[in-house]
Amino acid sequence: MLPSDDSIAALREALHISPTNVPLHKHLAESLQKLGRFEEAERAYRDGLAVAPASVDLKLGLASAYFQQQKNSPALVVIEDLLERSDPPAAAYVWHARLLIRAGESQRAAYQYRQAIELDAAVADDELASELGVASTPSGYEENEVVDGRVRQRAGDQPPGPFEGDIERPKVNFQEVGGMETVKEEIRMKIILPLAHPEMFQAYGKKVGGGILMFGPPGCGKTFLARATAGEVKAGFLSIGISDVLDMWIGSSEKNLHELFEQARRNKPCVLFFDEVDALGASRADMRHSGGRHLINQFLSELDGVEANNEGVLILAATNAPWHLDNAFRRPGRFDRIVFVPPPDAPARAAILRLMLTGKPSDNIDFDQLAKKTADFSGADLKAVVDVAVEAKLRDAMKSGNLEPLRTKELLAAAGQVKPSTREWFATARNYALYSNQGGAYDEILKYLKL
Amino acid sequence: MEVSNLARAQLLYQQSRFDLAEQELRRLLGETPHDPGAHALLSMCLAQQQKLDAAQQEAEQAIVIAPDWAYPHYCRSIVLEHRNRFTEAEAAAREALVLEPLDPDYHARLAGTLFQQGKWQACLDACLEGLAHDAEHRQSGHLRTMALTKLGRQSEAVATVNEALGRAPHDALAHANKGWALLHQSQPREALVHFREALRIDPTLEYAQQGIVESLKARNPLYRWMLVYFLWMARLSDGARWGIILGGYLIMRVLRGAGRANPDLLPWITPILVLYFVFVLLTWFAYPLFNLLLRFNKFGWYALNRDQRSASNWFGACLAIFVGGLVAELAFRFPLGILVAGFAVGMALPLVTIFSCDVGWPRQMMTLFTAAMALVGIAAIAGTAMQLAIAETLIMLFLFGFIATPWLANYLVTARAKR
Repeated sequence: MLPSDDSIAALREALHISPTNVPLHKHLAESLQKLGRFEEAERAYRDGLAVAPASVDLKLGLASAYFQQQKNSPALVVIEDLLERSDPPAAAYVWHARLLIRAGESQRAAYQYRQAIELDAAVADDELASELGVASTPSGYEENEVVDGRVRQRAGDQPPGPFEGDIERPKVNFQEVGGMETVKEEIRMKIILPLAHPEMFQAYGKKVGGGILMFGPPGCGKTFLARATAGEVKAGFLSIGISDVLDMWIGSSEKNLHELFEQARRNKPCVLFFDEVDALGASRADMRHSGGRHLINQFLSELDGVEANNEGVLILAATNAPWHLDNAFRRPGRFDRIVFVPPPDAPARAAILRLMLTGKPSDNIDFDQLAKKTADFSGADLKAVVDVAVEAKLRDAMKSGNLEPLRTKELLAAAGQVKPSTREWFATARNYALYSNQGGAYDEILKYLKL
Repeated sequence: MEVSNLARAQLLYQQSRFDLAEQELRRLLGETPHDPGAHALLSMCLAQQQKLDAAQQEAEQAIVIAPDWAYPHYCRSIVLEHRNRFTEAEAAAREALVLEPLDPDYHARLAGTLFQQGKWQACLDACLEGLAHDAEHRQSGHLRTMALTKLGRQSEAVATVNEALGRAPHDALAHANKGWALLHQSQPREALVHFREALRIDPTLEYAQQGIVESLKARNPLYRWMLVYFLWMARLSDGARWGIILGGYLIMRVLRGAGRANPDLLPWITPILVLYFVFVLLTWFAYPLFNLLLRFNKFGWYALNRDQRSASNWFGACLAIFVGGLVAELAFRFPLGILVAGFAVGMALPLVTIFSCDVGWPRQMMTLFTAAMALVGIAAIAGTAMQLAIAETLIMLFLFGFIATPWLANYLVTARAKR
């Protein structure tokens, strides 16, 4: 028999008198659930949890209320919290299984369901069991038996979950990035201001989000800049390197890619950074096997936010080889800003060297002269210069036994030994800029090379 | 995990990340040191990074492990070709074909090694055999066009390349091939269109860049005639080329002798001799001279590679010294002017030839010779200025070097350093 509105009112009255009565909270919430008033039920459970934060029953109830409202992510949070306890209740596994089915991961769901009935056969749910193709009793079925046209798999190890990146919260910000004013300005305009003043962008009907593609020679701080961007807006930072991308290729797993974007959307504001994005988005005409195209297409549709909203998810990508990228990447709404990250100019080089030498014994170094002698050097090359100089100094120190500070002369000598690594890149880039500059994509390179 | 490691390495290789692919393969070989596929792929990665010794070792290691597998032989052939050892590369390609006679890739490999040796007809035959197994094999198609071009069968070459472009209109190499075929037919303007298209698709294609340079220069009628001669010479075998150079030289000697014996014939013979002299000068200097003229064409100047730019710069310097010397002698009666001008003429050919020689011993030899010439020349000028007796001997020595230069240059330009 369904509880009536009167009894609800009576329960509320009783709670008003004794607000710390946990069973009463539970009763009210369950009654509301039976009436289909899930939102109120959720509130009732939360009120109860405010009184007794450790109550397992209330948490399970809250999860079910979320579940009934299709609020899967909060439900998952509650259930995962319960499962992390040393003695998770069997019911928690059942709810987890239900949630996993909604996420389309029936394998893991079946595993969790089996866990549940192994702990306590009383929680068995025939409907769920048949959906999963799992027998209601812990044993008693043959391996590889076919149920509803699906092969039953052995309950082995827990199947792996979806790909999860580590979300970090970078502490660096733009102040620690030497030089690169134009690039910073672009990012400020496209990413930072929209987050700081969302109302202005809303007034013009513009969405917050989108992508910036950074390209330039290796070792010039593209990755560092991306991290600093996340630090600047105090957003989460999810970095996907070439090795993660390769795993996606091999598994052809568009799903992993989707999961990555989902993870970013769950944790917004979030900066999603793809390093060496050309590995992911190699020109579609180049890719002979069709498996590759799926991944590219999936990436493009995630960028578009076709199925989900990318509001608050900022996508940064870096590449050394923009010419290998599919043209489709450059469409508005995807990577509509393409920013050239040149090697550091002279003041920036001086700043970088100053930063690198702080904390090292040095003797009034002429940074301007050093900067002049290190034309075309990338940040990584400058680091090599300092390393070479320090090593030479160490060798001397080993022989003589006393530590002497670094001097300008030694750094200049080290700069002579290190070859700038950007020249080779510019040799290739120059050809692309000269011969394949449709739509002016490489105008900045031409400008930099003064061609 | 092994499978996925090899797959990762293949993926990295496809994406031209050879150093990362190498790391991946070395990790894999640490676990399974007897995987011939990993050794073979590693040899390709190393060859792409110009680590040729190690590359050859890896290919041979793969052959030791799987002697009946054709692919490692194919890899070995590629490495040997990178090392400019074309006959050995040919043998390796034939080995692969013995094991796998139906694979068009291996036929194309063989054709490539034959092309490098200047065996145009054999190359064409190998291509045709490969194309019999796969009529649309790209590499074989490209080589067929190149071989036909070299055989002087330009219209056939254009026809085959048109067919290839019909199938794959975005094939940079096919466009470049068409450009060269047109250039051999002396149609520089049409060729330019195709070279531009090739570079638009693949801006790193050196073969097309060189095509652009030649077709831009060939807009000048004088150079167009010279280009006909250059390309015709390039189609000949080494022996035939020497025959023509020697033959020309001998005929001119005979004519000169005849002129001396019969002064009546001189009005007929002298113009021929002068024309021949101008022609020889042009065969030496047309190339750097017109490269120098490309300075006025922004697009063309950027298309020159480093060597070509250096050569034309040196040539420009020699030209300036020559003119300066002549003017000093004739206008200001500067006594050493004519000597300086002669020095510049003598130095021009060795200087520009340095940059046409293959990197390695041919270029070193040419550089040494040039340095020696320069020393002798400067000493001769200084000796004359100080009126030393030795000056005359030095001038004779310089003249001797000047006469020897073209022969030495001809030899060194065609020589290839083995790596």
